[in-house]
Amino acid sequence: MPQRLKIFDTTLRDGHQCLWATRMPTAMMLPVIETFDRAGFGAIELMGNVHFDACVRYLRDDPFERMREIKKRLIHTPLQGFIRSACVLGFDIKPADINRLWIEVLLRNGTDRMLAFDGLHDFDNTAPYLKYAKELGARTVHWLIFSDSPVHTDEMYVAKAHEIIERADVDEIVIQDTSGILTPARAATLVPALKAAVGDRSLGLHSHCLVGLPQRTYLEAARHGVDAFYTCISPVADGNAPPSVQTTAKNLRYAGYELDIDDEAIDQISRHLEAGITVLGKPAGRPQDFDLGQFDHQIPGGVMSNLIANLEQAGMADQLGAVLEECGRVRAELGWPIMVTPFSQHVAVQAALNVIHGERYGIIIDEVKLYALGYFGKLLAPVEPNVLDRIVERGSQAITLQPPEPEPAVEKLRKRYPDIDDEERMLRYSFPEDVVDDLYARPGDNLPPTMSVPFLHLLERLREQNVPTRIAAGGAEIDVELKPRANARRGAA
Amino acid sequence: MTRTIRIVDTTLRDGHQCLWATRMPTAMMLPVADAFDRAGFWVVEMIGAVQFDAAVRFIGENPWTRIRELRRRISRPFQTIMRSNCALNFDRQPVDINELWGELLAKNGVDRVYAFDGLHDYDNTVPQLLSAKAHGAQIGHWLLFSESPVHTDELYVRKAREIIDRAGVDELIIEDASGVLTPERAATLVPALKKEIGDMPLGLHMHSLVALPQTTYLEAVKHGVDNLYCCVWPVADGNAPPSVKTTVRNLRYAGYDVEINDQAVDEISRHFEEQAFLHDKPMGEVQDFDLAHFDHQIPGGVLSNLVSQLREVGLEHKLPHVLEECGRVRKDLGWPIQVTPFAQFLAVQGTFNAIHGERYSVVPDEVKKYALGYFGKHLSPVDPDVLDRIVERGSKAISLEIPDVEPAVDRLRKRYPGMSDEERFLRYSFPEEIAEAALTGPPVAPLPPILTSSFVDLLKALRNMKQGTQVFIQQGDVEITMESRGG
Repeated sequence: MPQRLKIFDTTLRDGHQCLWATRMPTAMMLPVIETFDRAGFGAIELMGNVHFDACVRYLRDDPFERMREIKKRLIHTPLQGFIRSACVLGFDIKPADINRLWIEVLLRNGTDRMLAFDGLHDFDNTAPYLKYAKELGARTVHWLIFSDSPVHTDEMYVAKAHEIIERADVDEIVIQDTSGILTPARAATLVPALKAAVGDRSLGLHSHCLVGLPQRTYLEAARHGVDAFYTCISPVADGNAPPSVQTTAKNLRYAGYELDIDDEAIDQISRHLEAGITVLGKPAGRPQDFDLGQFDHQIPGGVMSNLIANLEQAGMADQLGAVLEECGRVRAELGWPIMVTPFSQHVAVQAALNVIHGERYGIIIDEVKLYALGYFGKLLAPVEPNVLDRIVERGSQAITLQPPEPEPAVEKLRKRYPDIDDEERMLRYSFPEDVVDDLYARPGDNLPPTMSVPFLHLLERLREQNVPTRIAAGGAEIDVELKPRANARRGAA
Repeated sequence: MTRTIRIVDTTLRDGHQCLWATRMPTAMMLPVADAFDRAGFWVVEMIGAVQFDAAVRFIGENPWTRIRELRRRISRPFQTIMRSNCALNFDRQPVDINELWGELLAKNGVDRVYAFDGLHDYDNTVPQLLSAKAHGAQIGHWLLFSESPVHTDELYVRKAREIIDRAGVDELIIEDASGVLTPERAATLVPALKKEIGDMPLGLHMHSLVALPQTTYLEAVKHGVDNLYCCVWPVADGNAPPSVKTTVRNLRYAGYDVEINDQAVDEISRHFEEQAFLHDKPMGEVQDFDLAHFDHQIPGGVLSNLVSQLREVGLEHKLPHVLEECGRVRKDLGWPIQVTPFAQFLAVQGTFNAIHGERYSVVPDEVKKYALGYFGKHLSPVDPDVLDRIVERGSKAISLEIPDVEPAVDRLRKRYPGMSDEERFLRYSFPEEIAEAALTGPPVAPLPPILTSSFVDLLKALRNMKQGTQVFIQQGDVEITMESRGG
């Protein structure tokens, strides 16, 4: 009998996080949620930490409103949310009572499945809260974040799978490959090893298309027992993002697996997203070619585009190669932290400083010192001793050698804001006062009717061309009538 | 010691064959000939039968002039590829014509004359290879890769030995027209071949149809392949061989030396990017993996033709069905390699079968000839029931006994007394008026008129836009869709 596989959609979470800097407004999501609901997904992943940040700071979309409005329209498909380490929406470890309140708030607003991860695989940071979420009725999922390093062996992942099952009795384990470097060959050893460890629990795989590996790796992983695959709907798929569900479904079906995916529903959502791309001026994801360099630094796509922009701003774009090489070295010296938020950012910034200042670890960013001293959790491998000495000596002296115990904070928070709900309290706990004020005072202009600035620039250029031209952008059409001068042809820039 | 991996560039041969229907005129090549000379390519593959055909029929220029003009500007060794025993045609030609073909290529400055045959029947290729060798060329042979029950590592080892023994070739190349050689298969095939051929150079020439080349190239060089075939983007990727830039970056990252001059490659790349825009040519795009491709293995050029023909008759929706049927026909016919001319025959038969409902009720002449062995010995027999049907339903004008082909060179020389063999060869291969037009036209056909230079500025402005920004412009019945790849 053909094996049935599940597809989990993460367009609304990871897709636009990887391709659009997390800037998909709620208004673009709502018209297709009913279609998502009949597309046959095992679950829909919606909110990560970055989404709260983008909603509050940039889109001025109420993030809880997004969750509730979407949950209202999803009758059949569970909604997945997640927590990063014990940090709520910040980068440092938060008190236990705040983390528990965060779980309550997320579940109350429509999260059916609670996913957790920690870049150090220090489950002190996640196990208590997943257990709590399960007590409150959620299905629970934990990531094993894949990295190619001397530390991240199959044995380590097996030990970690056993540990999290034992400590939190999670329902599902997902291999998360933020750097997109899990090869078919490695999947052929890692997946069977994990499959034995997780027993009857579901084993998922969530990869990224940075170097073009997901299709072949998904096929190999399916062969060895992965039963749930994370994908996005093209055009908000591929590139830095997870693979396209269209391509993945085609390959898996061709290989003989059965899927519940409704192609017609997927096409409908795809067309909706395409129109959004034209209106919002956002990029579409494209298949990528293989790039061996990615295996060394393993920087995820979002951090990479930021790094390039920062170097360009500093007039040091030509140093990118050197910085990437240095990222590889820093990563090794810091004991192979997984290149996932926040460590990928820390490693990239420290490496850039090492290169730019000439002296390695001459300037130490606070986060690297905090990391090295164990503020974010236990390290999987020790920091190189000489580097550790230098970090402790050169880093901020305000950072104590012993991480302080975080104080309980919920009661104080409720006293401080007596007349608002816990949802708003959590936002006020996590963001500057004026930013949250702004969110509630001026809701976002969610679907800008205007074309993007580059397009206006093009219009300007076209006017200079003196060519009779009809220009169409999305649904809107603008006619520019000018004198003929040249023949136009099809091409691409 | 660090190993050096050599790069053979095939932009001027395979790149535009796969992406631009072989329509790159000589005039588009010459401005970057100097950059080709400096780019560090071990060899420049720059012409083959298809390029002769497109030059004469569609561009209206003399391909011998192209060879001479490029030869004057590029000092790197030139390479060509001869298709079976067909010279410039699609069916078998007399041995003396094929020998003349090998001789003329060698005499006109092509240093390396290589050959292939989709059945690996070397009776079809040895005479012209020996002729080229006798006239000073280095000779080599393709081993055409296919994923099938017939095309085992053992077969390739046996075929490598056979062509070495029969023609004394200087080099062998694994040619993967369908782009289906996986790293896993390369890990067994390459060592097996290396063991058989010893120190003889072994090349690998892939296509990016399902995005395998980068990982397979890395695996193949690990096991002893020493030269790799690439094209300069935008005449790379997609249906074409992989981009030289991506390949070189990966090779260097893996610790190999590659003697490529990046700046010269960039120069070529910018030139073709501009030409693609000005002359309405597509640019290669990186593809995703597609498992279905392994079944039919149709090369990109044939595939794009098939799609456009189905569209013309309003049957585009039948494509998946047609492709599936192509996979079945391939099996019925004893697994011929999906390469010219068999790829075309299979696509036509697959389409007939899928559309007429009854399989093999309409049989193209070429399929009957193939089944009867006109093109050479089969590696694996045609399915007996299918063979019966083909013989019965196919044209009765095709005799069961394969007729001999008469020698033709003497007659040709008598018919055209006062001219060179090069010219005679073109007159032999093309209808009189077409050959006449190409031979009497300007030595290098001028490029078609292009957009005004101010439009080029527009293009440059587009280049600075955010990645993915799409612009659609319509003027009369002309449309432009432009999309920025990001600044």
